[in-house]
Amino acid sequence: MIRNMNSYPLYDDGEHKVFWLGIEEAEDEKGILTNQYLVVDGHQAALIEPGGFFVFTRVLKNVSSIVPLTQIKYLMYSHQDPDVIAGINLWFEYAPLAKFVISNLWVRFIPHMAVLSAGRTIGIPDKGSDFTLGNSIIRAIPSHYLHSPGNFSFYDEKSGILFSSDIGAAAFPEGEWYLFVEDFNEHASYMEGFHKRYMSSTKALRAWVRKVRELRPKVIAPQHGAIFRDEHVGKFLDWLENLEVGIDVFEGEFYGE
Amino acid sequence: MKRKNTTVLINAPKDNVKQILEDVPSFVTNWPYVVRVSTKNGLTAEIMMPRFVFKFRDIYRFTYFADYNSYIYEGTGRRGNISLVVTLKEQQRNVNAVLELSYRGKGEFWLGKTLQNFVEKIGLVLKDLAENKPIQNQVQPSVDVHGSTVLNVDFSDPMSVANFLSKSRMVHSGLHVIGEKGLFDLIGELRDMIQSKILYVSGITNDGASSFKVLLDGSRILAIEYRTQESVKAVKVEKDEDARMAIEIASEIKGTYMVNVWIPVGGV
Repeated sequence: MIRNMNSYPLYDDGEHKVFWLGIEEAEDEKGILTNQYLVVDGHQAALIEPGGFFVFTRVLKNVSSIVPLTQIKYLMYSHQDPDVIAGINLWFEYAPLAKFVISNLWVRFIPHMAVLSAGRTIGIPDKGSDFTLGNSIIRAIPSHYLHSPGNFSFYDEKSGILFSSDIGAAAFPEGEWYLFVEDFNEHASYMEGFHKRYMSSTKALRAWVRKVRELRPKVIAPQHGAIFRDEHVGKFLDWLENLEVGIDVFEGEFYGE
Repeated sequence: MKRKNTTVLINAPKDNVKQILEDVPSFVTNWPYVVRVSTKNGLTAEIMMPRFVFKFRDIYRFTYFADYNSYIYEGTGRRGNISLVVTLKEQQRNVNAVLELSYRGKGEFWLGKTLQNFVEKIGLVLKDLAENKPIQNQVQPSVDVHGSTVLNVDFSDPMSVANFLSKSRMVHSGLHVIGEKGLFDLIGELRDMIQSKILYVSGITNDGASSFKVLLDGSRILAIEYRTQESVKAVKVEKDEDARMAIEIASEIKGTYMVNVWIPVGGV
């Protein structure tokens, strides 16, 4: 079972910092480990994809060793899956001044997580929006239907890191884990099955790739799997652009020809 | 060869520490700056420091030896060899672990400070892992609110709070002004609105400078925490003296707070 309780700095220019916050595999996750990230600018922080109950201790420990929890300004959720959002009631208490950032589509579902979120939730409009963190901007980039109908990636302009939600997710074989992609072809074989089944639409995927190319990110950091940097960013976008996913692949299998 | 060492006092039984040290893949995965692990053909781990910190990167193939109180991890890399020896000295209630890290290879003359930092971080990781059980083991399987594992909240232990919150529902959120010794007036107001014997009430000021959390069973305080910029006061009430201290802490709380109220509802 893979369990790395340490954080790892991805970017640091003295004022602006980005951390990956460790990883651990629950018995049922079958190699699909969840990544959480912290962006800090001056005295403000944003926790990206805070995660569920089972990762809470590690994430809390790592975040609080970097910033006081009252400095967390945003808890940023790409979509509504339990592995992203199930710890929301815990973070409600532990990051008491933070706002919850999620697609407008999911705002009305948050009370089902047993929290009274009015006043603390920011619904992101479908076209996306910008969030100020200290002297930096985090942009919510539409990623709808990849895989959730209300889905966003988050782009940290200062570091050039794009937090890509489930896009780029990979399932590691048993006993294997790495933080950064080194062998793209091998890594693509760990991503393919997930993308074909979980991503809904080839058209949506290509629209996302087009948008991301405009941003020119230096790093793409998904919610599952490994981080793309250097030449692997381009390889990953090329790979996505040529991938058929979702209903375009499975229509015949699911509904008959 | 460069050698650096550190000693950590671990507040856990020796068996816990041994368990961590003997699970070699898991222990090595938790060394600082490990970015790749494979157990496919023996254990290999890549250690890579962030580019903006120090240029150091190699993949090590590990072998492991142990005798009755020493544990040796030898990593053979392409540019150098790294070796960690952990020696345990059991004391009455805790364990002293002495860690010695040595490195021979490329750049060893530049690595003194880095190596010291590295061995200290490994020491802290060992302490952390041995002192904390995995979260999965901390989760209580059932909730009997009045029984009651869920009420076993100690505000100095975040997981006990998380355990409570994961089985609770938020029933009120709003801005409240708490006057001098006014927390109990607020609790009285909340009780008029909320039909639950057990209440978890938390509050934070707008600037985050002051916050409190209190768990109540009827009028009895079970646990309380009050944080200001100057201090953190927390008590879990187990005896009369704790109860007195809890009331003293409660009476210090005043100001304008965003207050959240949770009640236990059960669940797994």
